[in-house]
Amino acid sequence: MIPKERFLAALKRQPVDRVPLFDFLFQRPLFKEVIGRAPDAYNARDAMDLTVAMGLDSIWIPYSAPTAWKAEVISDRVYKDEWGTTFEKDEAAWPLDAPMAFPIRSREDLRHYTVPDPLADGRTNELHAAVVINQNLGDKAVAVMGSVKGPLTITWYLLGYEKICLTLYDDPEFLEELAEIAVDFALKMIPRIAATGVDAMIIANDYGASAQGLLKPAHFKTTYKPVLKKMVDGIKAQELPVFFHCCGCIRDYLDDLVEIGTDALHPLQRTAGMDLAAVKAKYGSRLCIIGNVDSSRTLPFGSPGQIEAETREALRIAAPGFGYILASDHSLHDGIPVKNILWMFDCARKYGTYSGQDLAA
Amino acid sequence: MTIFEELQKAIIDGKAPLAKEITERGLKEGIKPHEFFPKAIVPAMDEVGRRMRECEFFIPEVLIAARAARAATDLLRPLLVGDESVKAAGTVVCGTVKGDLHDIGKNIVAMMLESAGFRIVDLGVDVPAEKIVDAVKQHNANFVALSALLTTTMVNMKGVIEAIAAAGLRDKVKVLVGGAPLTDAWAHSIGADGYGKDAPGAVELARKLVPAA
Repeated sequence: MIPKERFLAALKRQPVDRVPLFDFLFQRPLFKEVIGRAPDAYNARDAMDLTVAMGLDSIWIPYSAPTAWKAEVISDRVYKDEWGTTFEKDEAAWPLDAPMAFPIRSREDLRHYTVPDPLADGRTNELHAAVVINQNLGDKAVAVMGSVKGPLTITWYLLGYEKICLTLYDDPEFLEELAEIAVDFALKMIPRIAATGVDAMIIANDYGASAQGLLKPAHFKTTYKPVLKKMVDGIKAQELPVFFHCCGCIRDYLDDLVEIGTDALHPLQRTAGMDLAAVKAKYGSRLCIIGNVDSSRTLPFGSPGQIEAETREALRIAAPGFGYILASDHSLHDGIPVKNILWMFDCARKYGTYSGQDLAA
Repeated sequence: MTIFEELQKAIIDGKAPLAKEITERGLKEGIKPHEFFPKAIVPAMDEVGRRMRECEFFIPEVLIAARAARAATDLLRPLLVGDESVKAAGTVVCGTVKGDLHDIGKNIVAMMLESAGFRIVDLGVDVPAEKIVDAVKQHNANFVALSALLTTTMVNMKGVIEAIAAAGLRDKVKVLVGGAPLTDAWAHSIGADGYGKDAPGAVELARKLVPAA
């Protein structure tokens, strides 16, 4: 199987020759060491080269800011993005900067707020670039995934999480209005992204904290589940599989995420208590599972033996019956030694082959 | 229901205007300002912590409860100035360590500690070790609470502990650490006095470590 076929088959829980490999390539030293250059900004060319060099089966390519748009620079380290959110550059969390201040504090602010144009020129430049590179890769072609941000993420950037928490009780309808802004933006963008020729779509939306969800299951059901369903339906209308990225402890929302039609769930954060065996047992017949190798303890600080054991354990639990993709439980972020990353994938290739070995043993 | 029970319920339910109204009524009825803390505010926030541990409350419920507790304490604090019978449970200097810009966990811990009667000196995010040392001296703090979300920044906690020691303050303050990638063993290995797994855990730990008067 070529990487793209392997990844897409696994997303549908169909037979594959070996467990596919994926991760978010979130550290510049990895680029530098593997392909000899470290980009300032995450981009299609460098990320494609790194993905192929590492033998991964899929890649994430985000949509871009419009070509005509320029960030409002506040200082060397601080800027406003096109949504009006103030970010501070965060090398430790590259390529995701940290939101520091938010454009909307009230309904009055929203009345004067202009939502960015999802269809502005330049949005899909990097996606186009990745798809074109991929078309020339022949039997090394990978699955290219576009992405949209989910309603809680967009609302977080507009309002901040603490204000969201208070607004859940003070004015829940206001949150529903903001969630609709997020879904309108995504639904306009999804066909545009699909038209570039991507193979799958990520909905990126964290709902988990380190020991429980970010909000009560009842709040998730009323405020976010209906708009997430619209996003899933919008992606399915383009005949693309839905890869749901949701960090943290999200066990309370799994039934709902499966019910709305999610095809694959990433990253089952081990350190947030996501139990791979329990998720596989309960949802393995309906959901492709991606991730679970500990990126905050084992990968940064573990010995080769510990990394091998944990990778093998994830494969033993989740690979039988297909529908598992190996990845870390968050991202390959700064602070994880490059040799540990490469070793995890070496182990996955060694122990994740379906022919000639019993993966459950 | 006593007025203290009423106030507890208002705080647990996250009803800030009601908490304020009950506190005002209590004061009019002659309740001493300092009585509200042990009899209503602290037990209410303990119950909020318990419910969070039991996954009955999530972060939004904790935040609205903390806001209600603050509605009461904002009324009471000015009345306590100069009252020698009332002492803060301790003074906590808190912040996220150098390089770390993620402050939600730190903010929740600070709110819970404040509701438990601790005085909070919040230095914000990305705080250099020397600024923490200066704040400990300036505010005569007996706790330093450090937060980190990232594996790359949590290592900076060790530097803070070393800076506190170099300033001759290590015996004076207890250092509490917390954040998603941390473990109890790691906290111990860098010489911290305690690891708070979550916000109620941080409060429990701080109470346990409060120096004898």
